[in-house]
Amino acid sequence: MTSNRQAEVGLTTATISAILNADTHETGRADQITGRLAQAIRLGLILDRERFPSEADLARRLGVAPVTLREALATLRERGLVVTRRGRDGGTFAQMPVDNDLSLPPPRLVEFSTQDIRELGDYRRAISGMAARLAAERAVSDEIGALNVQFERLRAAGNPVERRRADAQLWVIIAAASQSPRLTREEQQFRVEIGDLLWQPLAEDELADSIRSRHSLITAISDHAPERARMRAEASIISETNRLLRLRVDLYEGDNRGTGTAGREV
Amino acid sequence: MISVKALDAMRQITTELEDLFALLQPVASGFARVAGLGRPVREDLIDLRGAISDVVERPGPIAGAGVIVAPGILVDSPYWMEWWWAVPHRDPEALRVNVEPTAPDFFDYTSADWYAIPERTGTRYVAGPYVDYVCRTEYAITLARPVRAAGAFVGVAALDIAASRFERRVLPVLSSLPNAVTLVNAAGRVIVSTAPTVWPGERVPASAGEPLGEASVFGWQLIGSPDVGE
Repeated sequence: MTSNRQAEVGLTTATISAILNADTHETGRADQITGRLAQAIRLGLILDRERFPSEADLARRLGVAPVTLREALATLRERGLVVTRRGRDGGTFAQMPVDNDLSLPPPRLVEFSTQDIRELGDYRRAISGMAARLAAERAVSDEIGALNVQFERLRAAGNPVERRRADAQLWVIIAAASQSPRLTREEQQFRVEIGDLLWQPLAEDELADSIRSRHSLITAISDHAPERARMRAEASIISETNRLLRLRVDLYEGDNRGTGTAGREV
Repeated sequence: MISVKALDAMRQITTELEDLFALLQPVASGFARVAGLGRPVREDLIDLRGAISDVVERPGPIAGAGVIVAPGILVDSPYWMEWWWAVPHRDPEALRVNVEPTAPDFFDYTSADWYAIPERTGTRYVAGPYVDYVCRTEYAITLARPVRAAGAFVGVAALDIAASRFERRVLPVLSSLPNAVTLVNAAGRVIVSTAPTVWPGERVPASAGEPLGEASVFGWQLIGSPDVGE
């Protein structure tokens, strides 16, 4: 058991299980683990420069053979997503890629058709909209308190990566207040599967809108107003879907001008 | 109106909880010893692992156990949970949460009721059921007791039970009562009910009835329609 302080922050029990449960399209165990760890690093769920536990420990926690993990780490090292240092303070460390320019559309967006994006919005409305509704019915005062604390963290978040993590956590806490472990697990898995699409950096005015819409959602839950909570949650998701569709169409437009995504690796 | 049968059922449920709390004694006294050391560090908590695994690995409803350290007690870590959870077919695993206070997903356990209430009241507390989203993402009930060293609060010792496993012990008792009853926690949440229209996890609806006697020592209460035959 490592007692390294840094190791305790990002690679939490919740993140590991979201990584394990995430539905990826990669085949093969090493590819799956590589894809999920890569995604978790790009999202900042595993922190930049966070030290990984020992290979044996991490392999055990991810439920893969050590050789599979070693293969995955080798690929991540090639992609520049982890570095390994020798010596007393050595180990394997996560490394946020330098090209992780958050002002650009997420690289993976080209993999999604506009129909995929709509579909994702449908699915989130089903999960997060219902979770918000049930949370408004069922939350007791402690849970409402936790939501307000997390909202303050979101409001205080200083940069897009922190905002992404704070907002993801807010949705998880809403889902937990619905009293449904299944809905909560779905919400946790969104973080790993599609977090890069969901939590895009926002322009100043968009950011203010988004904070306001989270606030009105939490107010509806505190007021025990289920229908209003559901509507607010869905309205947020619809506006995020519109935003993603706009970005996606822009990428198609770039393709047409020959300046866009062609040749851009994911 | 006080129902004798309901009182008896409540006593049985309270005994179940008392028996579970008793399991925490070695963990709590070990924690008090460590916390009483001069300038304890996180490594010192390794001494508790034997006592904690004895609780976690015990057959039955227990899903996890450990200690939650009051901020500032450990020299090398302002916040810390020495918490282990049961993994099916494997050894218990250490819980890892973000204990970095400036992090956007910092898990501030000091505001969780299973920590804050034992701290404030100095007494034991049963929290939940609630969705334990930092550990197993299951529906859980937490039993927590304050731990003191040299008279000062140093944190809590606690264990989690799976709500579904606990129900198997409680519903046979409740379903033998003459009328439908609902077991409600101190926060007003339905723990279990024998009325099909009163759902676990809901805030208790008015239709569930009225209190059948005093709340238990843990704030739990049975409600329902009084048994007119008594």
